[in-house]
Amino acid sequence: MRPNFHHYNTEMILILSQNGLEPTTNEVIDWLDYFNANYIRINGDDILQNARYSIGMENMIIRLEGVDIHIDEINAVWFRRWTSTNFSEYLDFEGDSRLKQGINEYLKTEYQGASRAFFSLLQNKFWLTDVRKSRMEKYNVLKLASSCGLYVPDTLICNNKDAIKNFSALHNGKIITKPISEVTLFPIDNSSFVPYTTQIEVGEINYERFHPLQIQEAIEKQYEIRAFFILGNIYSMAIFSQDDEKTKQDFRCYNTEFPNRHVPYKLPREIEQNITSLMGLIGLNCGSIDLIKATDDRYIFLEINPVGQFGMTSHPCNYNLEKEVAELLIHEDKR
Amino acid sequence: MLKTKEIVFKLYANCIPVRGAKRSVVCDLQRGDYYLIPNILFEILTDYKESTVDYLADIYGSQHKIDIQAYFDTLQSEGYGFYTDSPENFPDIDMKWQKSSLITNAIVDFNGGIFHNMKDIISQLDEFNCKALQLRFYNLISLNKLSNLLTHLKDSRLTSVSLVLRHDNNQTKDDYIDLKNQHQRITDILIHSCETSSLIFKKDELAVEGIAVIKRTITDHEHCGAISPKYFRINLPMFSESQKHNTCLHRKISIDSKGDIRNCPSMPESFGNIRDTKLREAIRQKSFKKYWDITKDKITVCSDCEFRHICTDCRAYGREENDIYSKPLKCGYDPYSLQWDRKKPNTIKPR
Repeated sequence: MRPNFHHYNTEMILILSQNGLEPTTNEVIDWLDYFNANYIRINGDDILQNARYSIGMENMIIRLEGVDIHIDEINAVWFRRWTSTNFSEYLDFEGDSRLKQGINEYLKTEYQGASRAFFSLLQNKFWLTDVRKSRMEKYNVLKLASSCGLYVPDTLICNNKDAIKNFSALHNGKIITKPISEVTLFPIDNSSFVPYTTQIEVGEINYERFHPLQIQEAIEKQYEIRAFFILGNIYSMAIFSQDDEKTKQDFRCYNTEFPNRHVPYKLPREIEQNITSLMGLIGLNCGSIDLIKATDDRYIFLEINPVGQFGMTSHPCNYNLEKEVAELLIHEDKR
Repeated sequence: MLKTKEIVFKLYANCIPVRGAKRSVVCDLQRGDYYLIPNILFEILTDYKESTVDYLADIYGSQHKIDIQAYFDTLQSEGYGFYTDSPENFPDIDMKWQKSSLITNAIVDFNGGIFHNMKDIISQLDEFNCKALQLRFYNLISLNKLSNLLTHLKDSRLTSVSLVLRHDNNQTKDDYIDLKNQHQRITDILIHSCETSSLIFKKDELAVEGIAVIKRTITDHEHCGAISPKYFRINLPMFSESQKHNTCLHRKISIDSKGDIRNCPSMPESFGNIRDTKLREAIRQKSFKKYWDITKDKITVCSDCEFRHICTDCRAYGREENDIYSKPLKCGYDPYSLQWDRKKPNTIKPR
């Protein structure tokens, strides 16, 4: 990090991010430098390692790489991400593994508490993605999306085979399962398991009762849409992950040899308005929205990722979103 | 105003047709390849964009309906386009080129004699947020010395470094691979003057390591400027930059083996020596950017070439010695006869 800091300036952008694998943060910072903006970047890991801080009731002092951060100077906060620390290995010592796990869980909770106190002192600043709104309850978001006029997949959370059987019958046996909450990676040896969206055959279920599970109707898609929402502007991209319905019969096998096409997309105005009201309802001013264009031409809302990598939309469509984010932060910082 | 939904053919927005004198090409900016098409199809895809086959049959005559349909079906099966009843949802890609780097790429040449202070040069390049650097060594440099020099990259904003090295008979292929592994920013190494078989890479090994070996000796900057399909760069940053800028010299800076600061080492104009001139002072001189906006559309012959937005340019070696708009000397392609001249690029002399 190269702190760009002037003592007598009262304009300062605070970037909250994470260490490593953060190309998007770096690209936005390149633009902030290009415009000679003042910014400071704190990674979640700094709170554990590099920074010295004291957070009082009214103020705080954070010293990072020899630079003091004064909260009064900060006008705009960009919440990108926060930490990449794996707490299960954070504190290692000889002894009972349950004790170790318990202590690490506790340390993690304490760290999160400290982070929230830090965020709380910043709550009156302009936030691009308010950290307090950044944890999504996916089920809730589906209900809100539906109330905003968006189609959502019929969804069931259950723990028994009978419920799945009934739900499956409603949807001609075409159902999928995906995580109720965030997708977690399970590392094993040199790779990892990912609980991904999977088709379900009722006949293959061997148990009557099980751990909570989310079931959705399977939706046949023409293509997927990734929409990046930022302060009322929407930049969309179509992903041809499935060939066009009209050509699927002939060219399906052939086309799997090629990477999916990623091209700019313009959502109908009505869908954009629905998305805008949904974001307003949740209190998010920025985020990536996943949709499907179904074979029956409906737009189906799937989920919102408040801190998604927008580079994957920005680069193929030449949207220059990194520049737009930088300009917006500078604008809000100077207000 | 309700109109019935008609099915039309559309190229994917990252498959862009470019017209040449005798034929056209679809540049696939996502997959990085190109596909030749006749000019009549270019016309159908651009002048009559998003028209139904029936409408096109009215324009070109109903006897051609089958051919037009076959054109579209082929483009679709090759994966360049699709049929849709809602073309209005699929806008073109905005071709505005924007980069946060005042200089995007730099070349530094070494030829014995002066050994540049790379620590200083790299910190000056960081001021521009320069991302790519090429270091070219015409004389021997020990890998140790080179490795020391590359440690200055560690905290820099450069993301990729390309090396041109003279082969040292004391080095094995593992030495070169180690060098590349030690310095993550190295994207590719070209080893020249390699007469011996001591450096045999298996073909697939080459591709994995990004290392190429040639017998020919590269003695100075005059080796540069060759134009060939193998140097085509078919991607969105290149294609969009080429719309308004020169595809070699735009936002480039170089330091030649004597320390002279130039747009490119092969260009005649010098803007001071790195001994006493800062790079930022050099680029501030008005004529430093003289060639930056010479697009292929302004260059003789190139303006009629279907490859003009995927090919790198060269303003250092031209067909006509005193014409800055003349075709690159080392390009053997004639877009009027569609022939490639097989002569070795470096044997071609200007008129």
